[in-house]
Amino acid sequence: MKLLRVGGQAELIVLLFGLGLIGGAVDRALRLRFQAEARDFPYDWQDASLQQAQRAAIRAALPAKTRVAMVWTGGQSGFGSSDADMGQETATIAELIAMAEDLRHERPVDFHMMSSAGGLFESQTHCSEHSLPLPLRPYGTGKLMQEARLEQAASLDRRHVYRPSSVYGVTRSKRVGLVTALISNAMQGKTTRIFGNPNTLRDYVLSDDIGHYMARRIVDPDPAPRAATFLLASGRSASVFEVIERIRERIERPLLLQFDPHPSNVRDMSFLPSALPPDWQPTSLASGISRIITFLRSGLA
Amino acid sequence: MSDAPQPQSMMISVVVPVYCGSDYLEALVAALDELRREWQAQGAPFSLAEAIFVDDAAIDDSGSKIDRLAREHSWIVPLHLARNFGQHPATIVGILHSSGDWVVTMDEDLQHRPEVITTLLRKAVSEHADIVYANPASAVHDAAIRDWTSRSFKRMMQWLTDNPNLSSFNSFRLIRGPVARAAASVCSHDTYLDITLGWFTQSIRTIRIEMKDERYIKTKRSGYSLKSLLSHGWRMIFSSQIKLLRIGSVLGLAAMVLSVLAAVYFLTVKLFFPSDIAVQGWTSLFLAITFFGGLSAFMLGIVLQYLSSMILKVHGKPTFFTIDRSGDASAARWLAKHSDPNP
Repeated sequence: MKLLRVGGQAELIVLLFGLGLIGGAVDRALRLRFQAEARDFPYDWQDASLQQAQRAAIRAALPAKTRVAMVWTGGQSGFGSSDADMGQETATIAELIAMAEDLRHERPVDFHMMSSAGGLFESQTHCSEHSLPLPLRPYGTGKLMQEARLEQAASLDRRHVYRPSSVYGVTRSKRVGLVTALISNAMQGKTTRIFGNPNTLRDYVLSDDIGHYMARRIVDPDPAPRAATFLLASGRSASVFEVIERIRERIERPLLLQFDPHPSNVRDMSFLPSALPPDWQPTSLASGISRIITFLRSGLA
Repeated sequence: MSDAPQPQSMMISVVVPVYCGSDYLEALVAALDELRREWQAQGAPFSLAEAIFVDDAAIDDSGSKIDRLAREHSWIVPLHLARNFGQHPATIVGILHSSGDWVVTMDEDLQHRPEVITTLLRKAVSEHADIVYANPASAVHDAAIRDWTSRSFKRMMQWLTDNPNLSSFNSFRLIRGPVARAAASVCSHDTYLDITLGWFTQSIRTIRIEMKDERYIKTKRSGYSLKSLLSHGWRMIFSSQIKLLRIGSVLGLAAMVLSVLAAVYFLTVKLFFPSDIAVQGWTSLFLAITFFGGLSAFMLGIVLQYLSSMILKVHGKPTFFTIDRSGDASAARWLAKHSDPNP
């Protein structure tokens, strides 16, 4: 995890748990846009007794009375998570929420939690702000339980839940999303195995957009609703076929593909633009693909 | 009544490119809303999930009107193009923003009546069609010359491109969602959408309905100028493998073969009946010109065929495309039990 100190008028300490695709983007946005100074702390996701000692070390590093924003952007195995995986992840989050509630006795504390629109609305299309989550697998059920746990923490100041749809971006971790996997494999001449079919519809969002949006929300000193949920999708779904065509147009290399004959992830998902936050500005798929290609070609990843 | 579509039902997206339709938008939205409420009330296994209005840099106040309507109805998706790109690009953008199992494209001016969507869907699901075009049952413009020109133009293009569906092309169409989005994904600025749709499916049907271009009848102003019609024709030719290329190649080959046969004949005459040839040198010159002219035409035809194949590849003509039509059954069963108001 990272402890980030944001200066300015309202000093803020951000405790960022999970430094994968989205966590990395939040970290970058906080450091680049808000000149946050970062310090690394170890945080074990398995060993509860170790976690306790590590939380104590983090608490000891917090300056007195400073506002704290705890941010959960972790996650272990994505869509394929089992009940046990999600149970462990939910327990980790519950411990962090308990820590936040404890900290709230001495200072203002916000909690920002990364959930998943894909997990909650799998197989639902044209989701509006009134659509109800209907998870179809342990991953979604776990995310819903995590959201419910945060809802119970009424003593906290701001409790924001972010529900991103299909995220893609560049990171050193293995989970990069379909778009980046297709580009990266094409550049290396590797075959990409796709667990959907060419007509599967998904709403792709760039991790950096989520990072910037969350960073703005985290740092924002204005009083915001105490509890809020933000759907972070582009509002424009794309088929796997379209993604492949867009990448093929730009990368000018053959895409070696293998479609799973028994795909496990074929259900469509889409979100109406009216369900998205008004101050959310997602990058278009074509621009996002170009950015990833430029980034990977430059060797910055 | 809830605004949210029923989960698991077949979703229908409507795409409407808008250029100067301010006078018609409210009526069109009301008609679409009535249709979606009617389907909901009847418990239909399909729902109108979204209507995407694409403001193609409209010359009237359509843009602001679309935004207002989108604020009033969550199922309306407003899109604004940065400049006027034309009807086809606007339709393509709308399709790429859709996520329905079926996509309906229609004009803004109520020439295409929303209630016909049920008839289009009935035809599609009962015959496992991927595209259903609505064609006018009688003259659209109530102007003989305008209608004759339109028909003749389509016939000529059908002959040129050898596309049997071309005369059915109409902007009022119901397209299976995956086919629509795949075709829209590969369309470039100069590709004709309906030609591209034909790359992905042959299961194309047509229904005849009454349509009237009220705007043309009232104002005598058509949405299509001569320039835009020519542009349409150009895009059709550019997106197709036109017959002329093949005709040119075949004629070139025929000229070559003819010149060789003639050469054999005249050589025989020269050898055995030399007195029959009155003018010396003319025959060989004529045969040489015919042979090399034919050879040039044939080779040029082959080169152009190669070029045409490459252009189609660049345009995204697919090697294959898979489709799942298994979802049609429930809608077909329901529609079979409910009579068609537009038989």
